[in-house]
Amino acid sequence: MSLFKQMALAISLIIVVILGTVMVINYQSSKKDMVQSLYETTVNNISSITSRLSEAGSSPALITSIIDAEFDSGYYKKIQFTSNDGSFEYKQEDLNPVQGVPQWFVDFSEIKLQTVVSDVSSGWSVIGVVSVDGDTGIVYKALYKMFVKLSYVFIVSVVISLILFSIMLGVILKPLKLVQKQAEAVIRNEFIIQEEIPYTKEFKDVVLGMNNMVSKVKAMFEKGNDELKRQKELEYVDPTTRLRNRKYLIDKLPEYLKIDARSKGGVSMMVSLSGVIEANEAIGHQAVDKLFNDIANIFRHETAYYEEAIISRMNGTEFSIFIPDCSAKNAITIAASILKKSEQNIKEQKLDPTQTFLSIGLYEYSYQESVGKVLSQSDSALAQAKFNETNVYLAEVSNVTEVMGKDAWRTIINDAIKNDKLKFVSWSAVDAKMKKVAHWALSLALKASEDKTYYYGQFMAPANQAGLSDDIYRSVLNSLFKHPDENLRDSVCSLRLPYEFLTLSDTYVEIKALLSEYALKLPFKLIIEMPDKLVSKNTQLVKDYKQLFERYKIEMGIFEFIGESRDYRYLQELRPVYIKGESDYFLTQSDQGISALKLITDSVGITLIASGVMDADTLKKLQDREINTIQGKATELIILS
Amino acid sequence: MKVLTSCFIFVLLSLSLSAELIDEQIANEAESKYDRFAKNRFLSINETLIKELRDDSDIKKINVVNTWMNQIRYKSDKQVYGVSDYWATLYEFVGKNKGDCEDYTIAKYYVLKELGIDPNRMKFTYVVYQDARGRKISHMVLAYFTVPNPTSKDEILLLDNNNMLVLPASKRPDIVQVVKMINGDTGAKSKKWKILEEDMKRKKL
Repeated sequence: MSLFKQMALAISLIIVVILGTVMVINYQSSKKDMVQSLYETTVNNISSITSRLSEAGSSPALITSIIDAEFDSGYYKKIQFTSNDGSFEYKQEDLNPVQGVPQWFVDFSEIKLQTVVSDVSSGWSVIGVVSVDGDTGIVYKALYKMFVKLSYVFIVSVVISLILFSIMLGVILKPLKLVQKQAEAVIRNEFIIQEEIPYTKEFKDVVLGMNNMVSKVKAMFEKGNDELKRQKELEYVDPTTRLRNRKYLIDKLPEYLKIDARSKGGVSMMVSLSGVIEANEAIGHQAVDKLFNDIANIFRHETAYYEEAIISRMNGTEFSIFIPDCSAKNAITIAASILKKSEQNIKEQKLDPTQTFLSIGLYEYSYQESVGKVLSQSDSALAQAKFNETNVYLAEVSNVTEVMGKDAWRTIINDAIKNDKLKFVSWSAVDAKMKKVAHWALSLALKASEDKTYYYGQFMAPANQAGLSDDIYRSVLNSLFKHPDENLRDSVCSLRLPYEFLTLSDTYVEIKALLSEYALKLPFKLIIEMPDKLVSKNTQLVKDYKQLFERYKIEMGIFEFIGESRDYRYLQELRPVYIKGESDYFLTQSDQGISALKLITDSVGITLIASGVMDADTLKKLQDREINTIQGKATELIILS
Repeated sequence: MKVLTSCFIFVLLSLSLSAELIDEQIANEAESKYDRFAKNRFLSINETLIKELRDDSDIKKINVVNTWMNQIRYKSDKQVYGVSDYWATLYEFVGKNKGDCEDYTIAKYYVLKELGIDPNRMKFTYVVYQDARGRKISHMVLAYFTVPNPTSKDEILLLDNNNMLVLPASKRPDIVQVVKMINGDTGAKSKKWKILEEDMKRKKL
């Protein structure tokens, strides 16, 4: 319960008690006065009745008539006359219940009025006794009217008091609202400095304290950000040519060499500059460095058409130009152009082009190959190129044996989409330190028939080739939201969505429609994983996704993280719940790089998750680097608590 | 617009009908509660008293109403209502076709008032009545002042259930003592009057 509500409740109780007490005192006092007044009136009346009865003497008819006349023309409960010798008695009494007053009020008020008794004398003799009971109905009615009025006054007073109190409390607690806002922002790992300092001393101290704390965390983040940028610069960039380096290439290649890669293949060029020692001797280091820079610019220029191209300096004399979606024919053209322009540069440096020259080995790779194979095949091609007359050699990709024809796959996948044969399977991401499941990563299986199931790795590649992967994700999202698996109730699940699907023009609208209708009914907590390649750009689309997910209490996760961004503020701004990277990535980072990354993620509450952890040894190394949440075969080694 | 006007007139007519002392509805209700004779009595009041006497003199109104009401049988409150004293409405009195002296007085008062007799000239009078056997009885009659401020008994006419004739007080030696005269619903409202007025308003049958 909020402080405002608690205070409102307490003050309301006080107001009710005070007003209630005033009401009770008022009621009791009025009741006492009214009863007293009625008693006095009855005393006056009995005096008058006694006088008239005295005049009547002992005539019963006259006594009866006088009592009738008096009773009928006044307000009495009872008038009774009893003669002295007991020979005559007459009574007029109103036995009707009190009218106009509810019985509960009569029972509650319980007015007891004393009967007034007086002797009736005729001359010197007492002829009888008359007793009169005043009509308490008058008091009941008056009290009831007063009670109703007091109740109205009470209700109105309470309402007005509460409204005034609410306004006052609102004004007094306004600074607290600001404190609360800031506290909520801190919980969300947002760095908000409160500029408006409250005038209430206690709140002022709290705000200043929180501002101070937020400033420190912000400084920590900034420090981490700067450090990580510096580390990335050192780790991923060649200082001479400003090209990427070998480490970057190795970290980046898995994105292109995977079963569900959108690019089916391309060309990996390995370029070597021969005669560098001779060149150094001839024109000096600085001129050679300039030559390297010129050659790097040629690489950039010649591959500018290919946005995904990765140009890296592998060592002092070798370069890699990795061009996804590039045909061998185009690659040969690029290689020829590079050779020609480089030769011109070499000549301009007054160097002997027969001594200082480039060799380019080209390898036409497939996305199904491993990083190691692509690099070794590229090296082999380069070795061949060095002995080739043209200094260019192309190694053709080896044909991959397909288990099934493309048309057969297309039929199976289309059937699966149409007949809801795509089923979810889940793999655990485990916190090895806490020994508990962090979340369940959802993957897909295609149940073609009762006895034939294809797993993600088997059907996703042909699905990509057939251009059906977007349809698969669309179908999977529909299935996830419309028919959620009850076995996952109350758990935390993640679903990975690829770059290409997320950036399709209709995807955002489709996801938005699904969320608005089904998100709040999901029986489990959902984390949608987006690739770092998309998230790190922090485009309007990414912000829109983040906003959309927040609205429906869906978290955002990042996968394929290799920290290639030039700035990590997007992590603070988008605050993903976790970052997933390959275990190799975390293990090959420098200590400073990992420390800087940890500083950033810790300051904004992001968990680092290493995926593809296959054995206890890797797990141990990761834990040494304080990366405790893992995904992969090694999760089976952890005994959950 | 015509429909609205018709509705408005209908509502006004309904209201004015229900404000009448005796109407068709009370007659029908009397029939269902008592018998068809009860209904006839109400219709008779409407036809032979209220409608026919409207333009007649006060004296004629008083005489006819007194005669009509005195046809109803006398019964004590104990016998009719099971209590020692009860002021019945005109409707209860006519419906049951029985009542005591107060009920006659009340019924006569309201019919005469409906006929346009000045209520301030009609007094509920508590008297001591002496019967033929010499017994003195507490009794009530309706006294009518022929002039606003009578100075002699001749100017006061008594409508009494014990006497079919409307006679001046001076011609009623059996009324041996007058205890009190009170106004009807125009006077100070006692508790009994308030209850009676309420019952009359809701036409307690």
